Amino acid sequence: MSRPRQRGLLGGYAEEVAAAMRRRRDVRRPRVRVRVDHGEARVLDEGTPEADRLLALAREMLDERVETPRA
Amino acid sequence: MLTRMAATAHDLALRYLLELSADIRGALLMDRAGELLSAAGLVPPQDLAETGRRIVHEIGALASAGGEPVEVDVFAARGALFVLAEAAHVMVCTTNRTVNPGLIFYDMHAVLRDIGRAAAAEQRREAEDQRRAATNQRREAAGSEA
Repeated sequence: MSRPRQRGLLGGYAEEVAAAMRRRRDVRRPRVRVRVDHGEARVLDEGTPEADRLLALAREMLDERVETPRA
Repeated sequence: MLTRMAATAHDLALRYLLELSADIRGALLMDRAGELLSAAGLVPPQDLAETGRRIVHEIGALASAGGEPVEVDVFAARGALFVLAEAAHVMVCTTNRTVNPGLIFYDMHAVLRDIGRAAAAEQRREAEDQRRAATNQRREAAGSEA
């Protein structure tokens, strides 16, 4: 197999692995979704006060400790 | 009122919810004012009444008119929290992250509907008892006059 073809294959694999990691990170990202009066569900933006409060309550109920970033 | 139901009926309702879905770890039931009515399954050791009040307060802030149904699902690292608020009750449950939210809400709606039906039956029974007591009093009064 020629070197350019090998590089192409390796590049393809690397892209797939990176995409899989991105998907996994997105799936594991905290998410708050609200549906009022049988209307359409909306996802609250990350960092909004109401999303943060609901996430904090969920973590309390799930007995979750928020990990602080390591120095 | 629904809150006049015996506490055991609320407990039974939550236990039934936990039986309906093996994914549900724990559950709370509050009235729309935030008073904790029952808790079942795995729940945190903290002050549940206070946590329940805060959840109901947050749900109240999301509902503009106050009494409309609200569904909230929160996915965190260790699991998910589901909140369903209807006319008289707010139900909360915790699950793992791999659940289908639609199915969890389906089970929660089913149990809240059952609580509503049980409360309505209780109200009818109470009204019937009162009517019967009033009839008996009238009869006794008529008997003593004669």
